[in-house]
Amino acid sequence: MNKKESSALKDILIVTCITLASGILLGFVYNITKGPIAREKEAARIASEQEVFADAKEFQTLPDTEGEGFQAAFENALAESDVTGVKLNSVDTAGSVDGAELGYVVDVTDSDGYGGDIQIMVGVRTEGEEPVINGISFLALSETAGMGMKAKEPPFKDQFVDLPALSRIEYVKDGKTEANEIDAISGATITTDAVTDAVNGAILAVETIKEGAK
Amino acid sequence: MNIMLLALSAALINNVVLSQFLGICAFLGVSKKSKTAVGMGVAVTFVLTLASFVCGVIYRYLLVPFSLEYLKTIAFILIVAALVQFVEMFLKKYIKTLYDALGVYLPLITTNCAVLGVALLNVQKDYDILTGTVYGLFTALGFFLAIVILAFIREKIEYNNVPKSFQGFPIVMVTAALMSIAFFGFSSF
Amino acid sequence: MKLEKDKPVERLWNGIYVENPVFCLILGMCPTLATTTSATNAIGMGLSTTAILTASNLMISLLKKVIPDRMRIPSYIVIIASFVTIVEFLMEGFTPEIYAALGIYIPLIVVNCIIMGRAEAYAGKKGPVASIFDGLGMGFGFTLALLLIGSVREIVGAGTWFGFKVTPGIYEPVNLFILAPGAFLVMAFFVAIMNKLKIGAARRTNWDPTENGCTDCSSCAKLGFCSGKAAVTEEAGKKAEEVQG
Repeated sequence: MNKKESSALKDILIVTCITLASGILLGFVYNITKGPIAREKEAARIASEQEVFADAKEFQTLPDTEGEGFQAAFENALAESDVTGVKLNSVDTAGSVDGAELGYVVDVTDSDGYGGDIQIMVGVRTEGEEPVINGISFLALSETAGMGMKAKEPPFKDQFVDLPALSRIEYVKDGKTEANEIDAISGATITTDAVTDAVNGAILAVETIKEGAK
Repeated sequence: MNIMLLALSAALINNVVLSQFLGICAFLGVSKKSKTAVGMGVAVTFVLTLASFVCGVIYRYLLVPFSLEYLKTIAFILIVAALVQFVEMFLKKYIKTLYDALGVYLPLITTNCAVLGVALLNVQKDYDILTGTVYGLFTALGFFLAIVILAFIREKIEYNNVPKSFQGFPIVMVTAALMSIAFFGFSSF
Repeated sequence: MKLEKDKPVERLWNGIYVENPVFCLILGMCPTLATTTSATNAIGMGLSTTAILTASNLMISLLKKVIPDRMRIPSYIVIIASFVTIVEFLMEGFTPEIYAALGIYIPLIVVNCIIMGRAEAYAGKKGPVASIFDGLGMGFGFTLALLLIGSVREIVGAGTWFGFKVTPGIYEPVNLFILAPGAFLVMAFFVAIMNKLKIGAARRTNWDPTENGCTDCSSCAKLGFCSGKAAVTEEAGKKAEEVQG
């Protein structure tokens, strides 16, 4: 082996060593930070659930909703509606301190956002006569600052509170008149549409649960 | 999301340079003359499309199966750097005419943040390989459009009487700001 | 003020004022424009970049004898990318809100030309202590510039500073400033003001990316970088003209 070749080999060896060392270091750091990251995500989730259902104490995943039957029924309901781009992540029941079931917390993602996926939690209160929306909270929102990002702020978000969770929710641009309408964020129709679709997806999920219970 | 809307959004509404600020350096740096801008634009389009495809494949079939997703940043930047090398070598050897036209721009692209940015966005948005490649292609076309328009405007600015403090860099930024406002028009439908 | 070369104080002052990476060298434009929608985001971006820059400067300075000259760019990329990933994990775990707000721009610190530029221009040649302070100085300069731009954009564009309302109720925020065009405009005006006051003007007098490899990250990262190997893009232009002409 001549000198040139051996030095090239040495160079490659050194770079490989550096890469390997970085890889091992990264694996190490990844394992250390995995715990805190998971805890943080769980904490964010619980905070979100509390936000949409302030008077509930216990949140538990609804076992039925993880089965294939439910998923298929929900897909069917989605296909029949004009709700698009919605994916159901999970449904939790919200229970009060004494164990009574207050309603559901539905975790949905809508992929038709302007800046990416919008993941929201929708609290649906079912203990009364008619199901109503108890609140919504954002787990992921990456819309334009000052426009789509306004979805996170109370003037828009709180419009959903106490809306009947029976029919589809519609958004209007020139002042709402009906009970199932909300005012769109001006200049951010795509975001409004995505959020409304996500909430409608959650309503559909709750309807599907009710159908299944009958 | 259907693929037409995705393409339109990537190229115009969410223009990579004017609204996401990726690839700003090349956008400002190589836009003095329209000819160089076109060359850079074509080279970026080529590499970006290829890189989103290759990164997509490597991520899906190499990193995910071994649960090494956390190595994606380091893997993607190395893929992009290696890819640029290979493309350069390949063109030089086999497609001489294309190499003569693009060759000089290729090395400049390795650290164009748009390339790495799109590869990472594809993962973040969970696009499959086809969608990711289409997204990459149209993002790159958006880059092409922006850099060529800026170059044409800059060629005109040469003849304008710009206030002294604004000569050079600031006036280019003002131009970019106005272009960015114009591109906002696409989002209001 | 005359400071001794390569001493900590000189390095800090150099990064913050003399060679401020954003305002004087016009480097790292992508994060500068993208993450300055609010003062908080600007600080988050600035400090994470400072951490990565300081760590990679130290590491590269320590390894400069080991890293073979021909393979230095890939080696630098690997080292920088590792630190970026580590910072990414830490932010995800401990400052999730800033992590969510900065999003993709955190991994993109890898291609921030300030970091590559310092590795090539400084850390790859000087001792570890000087390199640490060079990283800190450049990082603080970057953070300060981002904070300035972020503050202007947030106050004018949203009427708040670090999230608190600072403008009188009668003021209607100019939304444009936190949107994309505002970033370009604020940056333009900052540099114009500095031109007027002749601050760092010498570094910018001939601002022309085609003649100054520095302003172009892309040329920074692979070819000769910020030290004399300019005119890469110029050459590119000429060659392209020959080909097409």
